[in-house]
Amino acid sequence: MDEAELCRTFAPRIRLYGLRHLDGAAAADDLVQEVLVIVIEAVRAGRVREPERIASYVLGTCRQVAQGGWRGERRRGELLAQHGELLAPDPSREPVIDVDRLRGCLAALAERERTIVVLSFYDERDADDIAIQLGMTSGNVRVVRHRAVARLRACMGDA
Amino acid sequence: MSHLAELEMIAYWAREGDPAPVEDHAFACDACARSLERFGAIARAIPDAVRRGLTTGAIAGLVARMERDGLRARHYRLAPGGSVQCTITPDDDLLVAWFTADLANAARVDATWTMNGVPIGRFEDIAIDRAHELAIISIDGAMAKAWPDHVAIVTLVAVDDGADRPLAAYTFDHTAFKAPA
Repeated sequence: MDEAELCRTFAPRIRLYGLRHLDGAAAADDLVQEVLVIVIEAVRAGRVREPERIASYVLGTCRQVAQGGWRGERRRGELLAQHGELLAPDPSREPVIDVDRLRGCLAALAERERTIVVLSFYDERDADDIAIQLGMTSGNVRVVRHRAVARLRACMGDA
Repeated sequence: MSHLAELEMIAYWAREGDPAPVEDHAFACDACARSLERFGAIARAIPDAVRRGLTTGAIAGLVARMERDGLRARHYRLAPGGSVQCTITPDDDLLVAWFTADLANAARVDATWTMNGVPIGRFEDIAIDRAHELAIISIDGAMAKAWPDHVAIVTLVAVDDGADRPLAAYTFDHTAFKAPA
């Protein structure tokens, strides 16, 4: 895998990791650059010899950087200067969500489905908490949420 | 290699459980990475959709979250058989109706809604805030701003074995906001 392919393959996955673990899209984009710089440097230095190990190396680097465990500002700056275009996030390949269409799709859900989706992804409550709040079982919350997300995806043309 | 289940991807974006097994798999699997990205795109867009306006059953904590996010809510709290003079102003993002009722033995609750005596709709199986024994409905302000003067009656109905059991009715005497001449 050459460096361009490595970036194309893993940049979206690193960004997903950042969106899940860090605060906002800008932090996720920073993580992409930082991790790719470290990985490219490791590949050039021959520290990642087995191609099948690259995914776990990238993920391990994500975890380390996200926890603040890597400091290489000077080297990072040099590599960014050399490969800035390659390492820049490519927003054109991300799924685009029409938020007004999504509002319509949310409105079309059954009442309980909509409430559970909003409690999960807006109010950031887990299934156990929602179950207590609504007098349901956690398993039932997960089933309703799964069904609701499937309906949203279908409504958004993503199923 | 088996792929990630949808339930696992939904739980990942709902921030439930250990994310590591999902990430271990997705970093090594093109198809699952793309699926996880699509699930995530929808999940992460939901807060924007809520902030732009959404009518939904709620719990007290959700209403508080919306207000912390800067949404301006006008609240009306009604006891069974109660009525209230209500309105909405351009500054309001939400109308929040808080209905108290004896909901303890009602597994499923529907809400019917009439406007000047004309049936408008029936909201089936609304979520009940069991911690407070309340039915709470948050109404998109943009929708409420289009309402004319009218009298609305909301009736909560328990549905037991397919049969309706009225719980309580609530009257809203709504005055449409009129901008100063």
